[in-house]
Amino acid sequence: MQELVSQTITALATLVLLSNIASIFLVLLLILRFVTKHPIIRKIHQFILDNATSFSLIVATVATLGSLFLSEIAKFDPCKLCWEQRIFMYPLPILFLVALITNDTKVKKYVLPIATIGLGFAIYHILLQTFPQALQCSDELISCTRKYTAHFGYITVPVMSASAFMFIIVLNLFRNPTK
Amino acid sequence: MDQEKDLTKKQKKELRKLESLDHEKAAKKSGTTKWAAIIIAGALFLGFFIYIIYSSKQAKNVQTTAKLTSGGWLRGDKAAKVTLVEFSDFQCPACAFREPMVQQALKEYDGKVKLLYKHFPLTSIHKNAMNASKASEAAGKQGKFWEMHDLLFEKQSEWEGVADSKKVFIGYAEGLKLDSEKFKKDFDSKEIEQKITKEIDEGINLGVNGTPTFFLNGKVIDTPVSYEDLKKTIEEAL
Repeated sequence: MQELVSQTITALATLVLLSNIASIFLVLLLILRFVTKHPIIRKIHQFILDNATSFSLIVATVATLGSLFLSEIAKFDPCKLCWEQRIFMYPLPILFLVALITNDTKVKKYVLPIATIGLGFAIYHILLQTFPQALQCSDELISCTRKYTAHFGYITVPVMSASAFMFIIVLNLFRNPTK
Repeated sequence: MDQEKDLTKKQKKELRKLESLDHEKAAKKSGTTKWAAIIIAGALFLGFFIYIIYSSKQAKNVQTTAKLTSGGWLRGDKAAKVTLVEFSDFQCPACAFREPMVQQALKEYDGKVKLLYKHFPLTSIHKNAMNASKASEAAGKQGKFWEMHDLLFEKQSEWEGVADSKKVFIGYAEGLKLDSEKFKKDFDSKEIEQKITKEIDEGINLGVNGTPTFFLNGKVIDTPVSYEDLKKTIEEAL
């Protein structure tokens, strides 16, 4: 059991690391698409654009189940701030799923503000963990400032959350440039 | 918007047709990935919830015997066969309510049942609970843990809301004829704080999430509602 928990957390942390790299790549792609019209760039851009909702669904699903894994199986008590982030993450898989089934490309409009607010909470939470003296949040049995896990030197639970929100935001920033 | 108004009905219809064609084209293009994504997400959800249900069924069989340490305060005969462990919070009304039951059990089963008291102050909802635990430990340093323990529960309503609980507890210490200088020093000591934190951590690891939580011979028991409840559980263990 203990082994399964630590292995899954390492797997989640690895996914987070990959998602961070992917987010950086996507941001670069967005900038490149803006400055050049190179056919390869265009092709990759189009590919991401076509599949953004599919990728978002996977990211949101993994994030949702990951957080449920941490609380229900690994038994990390979610603190108040974790709950705020959960509120903004849990609707996303449903939104993306419905959008995919009904071919609704407008889902980006609704998802972006939700994910941005979630990212805001996650960043606040990261700040809280980094500078526990600067801000106060300790009205839970398990204080928000308690760091449960740090993989690769920086990945804690709120960093995971922030990475997922970030990835979803970047994916949903892709727009058809002709319109 | 104005532009759209200017269009005739026919043009509008055509425009809509074109748009839907565009959608279909886009949909076709991403069709495979789309269904792959839906199936993967669905499988992940399904797998996860099946696992949760499966593991929760298993957990019920596994979690019956928890590992308890001997840390805490012992009341009753050391050689007693039955050990009742209580994770408790001095500011918790439910704990104060069950205090007479525990006392009665210790009296009735003298020599057969002993109590091991462990701190589990719910600091998030009880602002004076941590200080109360510290006060009891500081009194314990002078050999009067149980006197302070009883007093804290007895006068719970008196101190639970006060702003400066430390002052009130110093008053209690003086009432118990403790050396108040030593009491103050112990109250603020790191040693006592660490001892309490250790007991809280032990409780968290055992799955304690409320007070009081009782363990009888290492097994968590349903929190007794009446003395008869508690008596029945003890009789079974004897």
